[in-house]
Amino acid sequence: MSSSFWSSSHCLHWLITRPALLISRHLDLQYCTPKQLYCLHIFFTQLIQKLGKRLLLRQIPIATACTFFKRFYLKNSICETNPYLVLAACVFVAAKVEETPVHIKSVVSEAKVVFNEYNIKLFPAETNKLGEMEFYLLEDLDFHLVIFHPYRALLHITGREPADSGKFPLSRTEEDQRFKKKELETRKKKDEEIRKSNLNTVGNKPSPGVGLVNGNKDVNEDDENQLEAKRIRRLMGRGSTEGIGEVDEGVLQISWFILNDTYRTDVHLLYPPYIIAISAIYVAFCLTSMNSSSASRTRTSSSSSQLNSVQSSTTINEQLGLDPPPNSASNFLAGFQVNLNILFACVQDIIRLYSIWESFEPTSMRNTNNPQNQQQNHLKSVLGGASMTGTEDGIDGKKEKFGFEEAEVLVRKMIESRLVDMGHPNNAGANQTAKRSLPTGASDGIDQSSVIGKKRVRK
Amino acid sequence: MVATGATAAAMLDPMHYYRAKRDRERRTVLKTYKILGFISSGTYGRVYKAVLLPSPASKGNTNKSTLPSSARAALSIPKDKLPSPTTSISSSNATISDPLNNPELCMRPGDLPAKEGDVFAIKKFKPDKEGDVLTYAGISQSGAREIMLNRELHHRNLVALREVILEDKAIYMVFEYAEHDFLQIIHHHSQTTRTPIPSPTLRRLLHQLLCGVHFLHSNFCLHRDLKPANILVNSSGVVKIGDLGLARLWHKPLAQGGLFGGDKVVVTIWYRAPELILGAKHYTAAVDIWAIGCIYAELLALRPIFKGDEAKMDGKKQLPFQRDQMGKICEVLGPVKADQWPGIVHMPEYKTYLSSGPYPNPNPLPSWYQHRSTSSQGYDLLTRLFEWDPARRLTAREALAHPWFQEEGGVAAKSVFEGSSVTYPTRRVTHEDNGDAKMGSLPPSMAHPRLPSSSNFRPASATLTGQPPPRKKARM
Repeated sequence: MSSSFWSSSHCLHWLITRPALLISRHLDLQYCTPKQLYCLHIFFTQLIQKLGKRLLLRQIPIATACTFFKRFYLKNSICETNPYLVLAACVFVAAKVEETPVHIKSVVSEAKVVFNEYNIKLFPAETNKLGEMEFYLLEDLDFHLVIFHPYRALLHITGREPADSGKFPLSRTEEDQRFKKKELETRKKKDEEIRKSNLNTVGNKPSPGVGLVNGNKDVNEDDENQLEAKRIRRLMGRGSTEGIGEVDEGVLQISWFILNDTYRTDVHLLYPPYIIAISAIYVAFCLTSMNSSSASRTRTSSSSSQLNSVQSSTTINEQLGLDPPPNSASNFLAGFQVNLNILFACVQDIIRLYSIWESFEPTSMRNTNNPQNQQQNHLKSVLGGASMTGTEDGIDGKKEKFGFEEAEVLVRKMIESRLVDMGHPNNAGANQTAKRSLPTGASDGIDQSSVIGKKRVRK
Repeated sequence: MVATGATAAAMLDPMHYYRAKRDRERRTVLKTYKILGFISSGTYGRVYKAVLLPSPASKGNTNKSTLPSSARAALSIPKDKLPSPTTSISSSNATISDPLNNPELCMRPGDLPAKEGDVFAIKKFKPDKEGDVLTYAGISQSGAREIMLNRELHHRNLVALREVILEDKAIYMVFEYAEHDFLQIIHHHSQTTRTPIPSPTLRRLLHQLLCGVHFLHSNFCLHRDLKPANILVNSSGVVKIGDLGLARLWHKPLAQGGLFGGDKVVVTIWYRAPELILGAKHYTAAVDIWAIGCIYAELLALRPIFKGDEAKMDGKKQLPFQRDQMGKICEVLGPVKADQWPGIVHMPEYKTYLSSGPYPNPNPLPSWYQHRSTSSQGYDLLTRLFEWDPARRLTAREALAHPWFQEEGGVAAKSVFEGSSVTYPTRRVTHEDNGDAKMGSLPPSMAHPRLPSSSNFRPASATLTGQPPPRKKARM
C-alpha cells in the first residue's frame, strides 16, 4: 500500500539480508575487488545525480533512481550489462514514477553530455535503446515502483511533518477533549440507567441487587483502566509526532545531507527507511556534539521555523496527560525502541561510506561553489577523516589511486573480460574457481591484476 | 556454445547476453493465456478476454525440485543468479526447469496465483510506432501509473492486477475479469427492462464504490477518472474500481504547479467537479466525490445528470472554459450562491464563469429526485455529494457513515445483486478475424496480418449504449 510501509512491496519483497546481497555480487567480484565495486557504486550514484540535476529533477526522483539502480544489480552484474544505459533508464523511469516526467529524448541528450564529461563512450545515445532498456528494467524491478524514502520518515520523526497529514481533521488535543466529553456523557447515562434499574430491582429483590451494584463498580474500574490504555494507544497510534520531542534545525539539516549520501551505499536494500532515518539522526547528533562542546544538542537561531518547539511539545503532552517529551538526544533516540543491533549496523554502513568516498573522490577535488556542497564536503571530511585512521589501511594496503578515471576504465575492463570469459567458458570456469579461492580482502592478488590491474603491472 | 561471430557482435554491445537471457526467460502472453475474444478499445490500447492455460509443469511431476516462486521471492534473486559454474547461455536441459516451457517459473514476487481456467481481462497498451515499425518511445505516464499503483494497492473493491507482461514492445496487464460494469447495468435497465435499478442493489453498488474510493483516498491516491464505464462489477456481485491510468499519489513531491502541472485535464467532462471547471490548480480528493455524486444520480436516472458538450481546444494552447458543462450543472443545482462557496471568487475562471452567464435560476434537484426516489436520506446524501464548495463536500469516510446506507436492510450483503430478480447480460466479447477465436489479434506477429483500423473495432462503450461514449479527456 502506498500509505503503509508494512504492506508495501518495498517491505515485503525488497529488503534483503547481507548474505543475499553478497551472493548477488559474486560475479562482479570476480572482476574487481570489493572496495572497487563499492567505489563503482559511488561513481554511478554520482552520475545519476549529475544526470538528474541536468534534467532539473528534485532529490526524491533522484533517490528513487538510485534505489532502482541498486535493485537492478541485485539480479544482474555490472560486467554483463551496460551500467550507463541502466542508469539512464533508472532516471527515466524514476522521473515518471515521481510524477515529474521528462522526455526520453532529453534523457538521452543530457546523458550524452554528462557521460562525455567523464569520457564514457559505452552509452548508446539512441532513444529506442533506452526505451528497450526501460522494459527490461521494469521487468527486473518486478514492476514494483513505489519506494519509501527515509526523507519522509525523517520529517515525521523530527516533528516537521505529521505522519497523519490529511487523515485526521482534528488535532490530538482537540480529539482527546471531544472523546473525553463523549465518554463522560455516556458514563453519566450509564450510571443513571444503573441507578434506575437498581431502584426497580431493589424493591423486589434486595439481596441480589446489592451484589449487582458491587459487581458493577468493579467492572467500571476495570473499564476505566482499559479505556485509559485505549486512549493512550489511540493518541499514539495516530502516528502524529505532536508532542513527542524536538530536534534542532541544524541536526535536521545534517541528517538530510547524510540521507542524500546514503544513496551511495547499500543501506536502502538492507534496512527499512525509518531505521535509516534514525541512523542519520544519530550520526548527526554525534557530529553536532563533536563540533560544539555543549550538550548533545545545539541550538541555532533557525529553530524558529520548526513546527513544534520544545515548549509546545511539553504543553501538548501535559494536556494529554502523557509523559513529558525526552530532553536529551539519547532519550529521544531511545524513545523509538528500535533494535539497537540493527540501528548500529546501519550506522556503521553509513559511516563506512565516508572514508571510502574520501579516498575515491577527495574533498579537495570537488567544487565548493555552493553552500550545500560545502556543508556536505565538511561532513565528508570530518567523517572520512575520523574513520580513516582505523579501517583504511586494512583494505587498501598500498596507497594507489582509484578515482573517477580509473572507475571508468575498470567498468570497461570488467565488461571486456567478462565477454572474453563468456566466449571461452571452459577457461572462464577455471579462472573463476581460482579467483574465488582468493580471500576477498587481498585485492592485490596476482590473478586479480591480470584482469584489471594491467595498468599497475605495466608500471 | 557461443560462436565467434556472436562474440564479435557482443563486443560492440555489452547488453547482448543480458538481453538474450532476459528474452529467453520471458513469460509470453500466448503461452500462458488463451485469448477468448476482444472486449473493448480506447486511446490506450485494447482489452481482451482470456483464460489461463494449464502450466506444463502441472501435467507431469508437479513437485519437481525447481524453486517455487515464493522461495524466489524470499531470496529476491532469480534462480540463475545463485553461484553455479554454468550461469546463463546454452542451458540445454529443455525440461520443466526451462522457463520457456514452464511459464509458472516466470512468476514474479507480488504476482497473484491463479489456477487453470481462471478468466482474465488482458489490457494491451498500444505500442509506439514510427511509421510502420514498432519502436520503444518510453512507457506512457498513464501506463507507468497504472502499473505502479495496481502493483501496490490491493483491496476487495479494486480490480486486481495478476501480472504484467512485456512482449513485442507492448505492455500487457493481466487483470481479474469482471462480467459487468456500471455503464452496462445502467444501459440494461434503461434499454432492456425499462425499470429503475432496485434500490437495494443501487445502495450496495454505491456503498462498495465508496469503500473502494475511501481505500484509495486513505492511501493518498486520487482516482481522477471515476465514471460508470470504469467501475466494474464481477459475477459474484462485487464492485471493482478499474483504470488507474489517471490516478496519482498526492503525498509525493509535486511538479511545478502542483497537481495541475502534470495533467492539464482530468476527469471525463460529465463527471468533472466545478472546481476543476473553474480552473483550480490545487484540488483535492473532493473531485472524486463529485464524480461519485454524478454516478449516484446516473444510477437513479439511468442517464447522465450533467450531460454537457465538451468545448474543444481550438489550436491554441489555452484550455477553453467548459461553459456548457457548467451550464448543465447550474440548470440542476441553480447558480452558485456566495454563501454556498465563499472560495469561488479565488478560482482562476471565476470571471469567465460570471461573464458567460446568466445561468438559469431554478433549482430542480428536489423535484428531480422526487421523481426517482422517496427516501429523504437518499436526497440528503446526494446534496452533500453535490456540495459546491469542495471543502464542504462529504469525504468518502463520511459518506460511508451516512444513514441512507442503513435503510432497507442496509448494505451488509456481500453481493450487490442479492435479492434482485434482474439478470444482467454477460459482457459482449467479439471474435475478430472472422470468428477465429483462437487468437483475435494478439500479439500482432502471431495473428494474420490485417489492417489496424479494421471495422471490427468499434469502441465497446458505443456498442453498449447506442449513444456516443463520454468523450475521453485529453491526456497530456
